[in-house]
Amino acid sequence: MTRMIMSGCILVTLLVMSIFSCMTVDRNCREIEQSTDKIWELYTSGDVQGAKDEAAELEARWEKVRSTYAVLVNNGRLNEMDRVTSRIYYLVENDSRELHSELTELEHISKGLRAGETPKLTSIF
Amino acid sequence: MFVVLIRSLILYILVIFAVRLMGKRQLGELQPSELVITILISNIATLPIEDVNIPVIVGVTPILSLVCFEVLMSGLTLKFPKFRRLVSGSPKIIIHNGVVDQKVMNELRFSVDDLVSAMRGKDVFDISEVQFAIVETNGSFSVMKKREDDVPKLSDIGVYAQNSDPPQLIVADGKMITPAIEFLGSSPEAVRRVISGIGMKLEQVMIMTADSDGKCYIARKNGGSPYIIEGANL
Repeated sequence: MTRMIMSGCILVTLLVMSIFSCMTVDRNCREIEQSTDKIWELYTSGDVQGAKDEAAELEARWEKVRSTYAVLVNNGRLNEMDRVTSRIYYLVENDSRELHSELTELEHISKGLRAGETPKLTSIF
Repeated sequence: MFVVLIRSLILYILVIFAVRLMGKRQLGELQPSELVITILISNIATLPIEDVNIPVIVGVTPILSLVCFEVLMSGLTLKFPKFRRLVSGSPKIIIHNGVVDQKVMNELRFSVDDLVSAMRGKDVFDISEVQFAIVETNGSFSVMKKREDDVPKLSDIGVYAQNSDPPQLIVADGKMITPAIEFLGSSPEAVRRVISGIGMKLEQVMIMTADSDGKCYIARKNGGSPYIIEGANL
């Protein structure tokens, strides 16, 4: 009976951790996606400084959540995010034509990360 | 390298914990579901050890959840016999009244060689001696010999024998094993008294066993013949 109670407790703990992980990743990734949209809006409206500030904020936000993600998500995906987020600021600053493709890629990686953690029929099977 | 070492240690502890959580039954006899879990755990545990890109929690979660599912499942099978039959199957009688059931053999995909080999494993070399044989749900084979071919029991030849528990190991390498002494209903002082009664000290004793009738076996550390004491006052 003790073993069954222990197993039940472990399963509940794992369930709570999974829900926490799912919610955290989902929230942070949505924020990143909103941020990429905002950067592009500011950039296309001519507010380069605003876009730079937003890019710096995006990078800082990513750095903040990365350590939590490292415990929950495969490192390969995180390295991709690292690579793209660290480039956005410099692309805005240098008025690069690659900015749009990089922002799209970032959004795509973020959506992939979110889909991998959210239990949906497509991600389960 | 150091990361891999630490990860290996964590997963080693986790797998030990997992096997302990599944219980002693796991170590001796595997039911179909337990076999599946054991194979899965051993495979999953290697993934985060080999690949440092995979977080440990990604390896820990399936191992713990599989073991917990298994424990809960075994609890349910204990409570619901129909569910147990569904999960573990039921024992199959393969020889009844000395007749081999061909249908059951086909059902179990048991060849004649398998049958003869399983019987040899039970020290039966002549199939005509078997009255009844059954294949258990964990795949083990149980045999009952015909009465005329079986070893006679003491009661069969009219000999009276008293039942008693086996001897307990109460001193090992000069150290007393308190739970075993308590199991015998004795005390460390009484054990010490028996040892000093033969002119020895506790530290000189390598093995000491005793049963409920007070029969003691005492082996010395420095070799020599062991002491066998009948009816010691323990």
